[in-house]
Amino acid sequence: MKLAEEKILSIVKGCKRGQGSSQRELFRLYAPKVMSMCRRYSSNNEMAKDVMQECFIQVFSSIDQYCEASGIFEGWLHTVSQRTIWRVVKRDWGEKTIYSEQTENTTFTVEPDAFAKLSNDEIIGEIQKLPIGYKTVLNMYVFESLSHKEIAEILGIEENSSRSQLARARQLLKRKIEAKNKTSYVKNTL
Amino acid sequence: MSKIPFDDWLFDRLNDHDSPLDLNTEWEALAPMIGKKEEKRKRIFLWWILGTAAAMLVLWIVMGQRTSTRSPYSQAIQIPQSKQDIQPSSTFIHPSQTISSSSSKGKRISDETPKSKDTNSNLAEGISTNNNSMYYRNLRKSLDSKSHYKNHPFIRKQSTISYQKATNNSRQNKIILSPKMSRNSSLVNMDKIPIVSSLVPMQSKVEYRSNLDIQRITTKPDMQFSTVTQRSISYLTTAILLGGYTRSFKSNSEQAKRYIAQKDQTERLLEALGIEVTYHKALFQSDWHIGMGLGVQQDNFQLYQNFRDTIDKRFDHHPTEVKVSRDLTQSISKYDDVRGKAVYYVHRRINGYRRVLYIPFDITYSKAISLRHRIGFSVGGALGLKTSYFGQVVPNLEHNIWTVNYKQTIEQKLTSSYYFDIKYSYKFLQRATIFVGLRYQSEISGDEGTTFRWQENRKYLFLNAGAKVYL
Repeated sequence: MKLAEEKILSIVKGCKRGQGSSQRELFRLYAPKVMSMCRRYSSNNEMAKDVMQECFIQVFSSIDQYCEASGIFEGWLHTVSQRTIWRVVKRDWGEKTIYSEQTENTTFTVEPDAFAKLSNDEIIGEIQKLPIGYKTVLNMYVFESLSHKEIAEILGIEENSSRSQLARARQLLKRKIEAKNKTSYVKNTL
Repeated sequence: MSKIPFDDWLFDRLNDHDSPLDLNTEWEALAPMIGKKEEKRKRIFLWWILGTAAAMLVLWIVMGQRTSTRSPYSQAIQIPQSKQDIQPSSTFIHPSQTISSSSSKGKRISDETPKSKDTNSNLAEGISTNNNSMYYRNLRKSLDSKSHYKNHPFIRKQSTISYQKATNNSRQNKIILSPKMSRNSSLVNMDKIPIVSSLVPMQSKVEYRSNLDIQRITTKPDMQFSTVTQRSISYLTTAILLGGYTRSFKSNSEQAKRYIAQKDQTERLLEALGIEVTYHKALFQSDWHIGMGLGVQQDNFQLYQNFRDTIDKRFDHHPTEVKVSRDLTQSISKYDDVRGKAVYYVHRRINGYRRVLYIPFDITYSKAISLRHRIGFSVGGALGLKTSYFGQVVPNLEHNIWTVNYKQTIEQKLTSSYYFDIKYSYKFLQRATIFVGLRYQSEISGDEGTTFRWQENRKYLFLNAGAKVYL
């Protein structure tokens, strides 16, 4: 549900003045969306909550920077959250998962109703189970529409590594979702 | 039913997904952390001020310790009040002398006794008659006598000061010994003090006492010696500057105007600070000084951007279609050049600085408002020797997404400035003064980018603090 721009701007003004009620209202409005983003990048929900906290700390500390002319507030908040998540991911990633093998670009096609039985939370749960490198690249490519070159620059990895991780992430995720979907289908039919 | 790419399916399912969350619990956890962050930001400038104050305090303590270890006189010397207080074997001697431990020196002291006594009588005579010129002639004569104590640095220093006082007083008639002071002065009654009249081996103390008394006279509030002691004396100033600044640009070039407008929007000034060491020499009058030195100043700024930009892009040889077999072992890809729009969300803050090495020069007038307190005014200028930048800058007028190193883009030409300052100083040691003041400074510099030039005008208001050491 989209709120009127005026209401959001008045909340933002209140946040700029440091009003607790406005900050709370802003959090109430956007926390679920930010949490969803954080969950996609995190290994579990508790970790996602920590990242979400960091995102909102960053949002409230730099909210003075936001001006109406620079675009809608939701876009700005998304960007700030996105950068914070990437920073946390990079910090946690370390040197755990760096692959640089060559993999061809692969794109799977699916039937829209094939996985309809799975809820969004279940799909996010499957993404969370992916290795950190896989899900990071997958999120950046699919949800942030970044190119492999940009992903490589942000994460400090090679471009080929980004491609290969994306390909593997797709394969693995699709298998997991298919398996989950079958289980779910069986559960639902029995 | 048609198939859609996996990525698109994933995007459609999850992009607008809101995760269920216990908002109250999460907010309770988050709220205290927001408060801390805000408080931290507000205290940044306060830290600078506290840091400077702490540095000044350390300087004060260090200087104080050095003074106490350098001047043991106050601890070793006890002014005797009666004959009973004076013992021949007491350690009541000049700390730097080895009179009591060296018999030969002791003998020489005995030999010198009459002269020393003359000294005191001359001093007493000179002052008690209130004839200043006579007093100082006698004083100089006595101090220039063949007494081997005259080479002692303390005595020599005092004699110089006294002579300067004498000449000054003879011209300006400022030094007036009040009758009360003449009567009570220990210098006047020197011959009546037991230490002088009764104990020959203690004559070294008499010499020393006389100098102590001279010093005591110089510090009487009704005598204006403070300017005399600084007459024609050079001093070294160390200033710590701390302050804020503003910046404005001028250019006739349309391109430069657009660029500097963009700089105004994307660069935020934080603070400026610097350190300066200046050597001052007294001018034709003691209260006027001219000085020159070397200084370093650093202006901190921040590149901050927060915007969304869409750029048309061409993706060469981009996979447009990939067909994969069911067992995922084979795939067929089609590649083509693709045109699309890239959307950039830019949110960044990058700190940078501009550092200037410069030569300051000034003329200073300082006026004593009491023995230890002075107020001074300076007018000066500075010529920049070298300017260096560190940080990021937006080079592109069309899309300011990418940044480059500041120093690769902008070259600063000649930098010059002028300033006025007012400072209050407090003399806390014989040769050291600390001061605090305000300085207004205006700087003009010529900047050159890759294709155009502009003029940069910076105005500073500094809180100015430091120390003067008299050489």
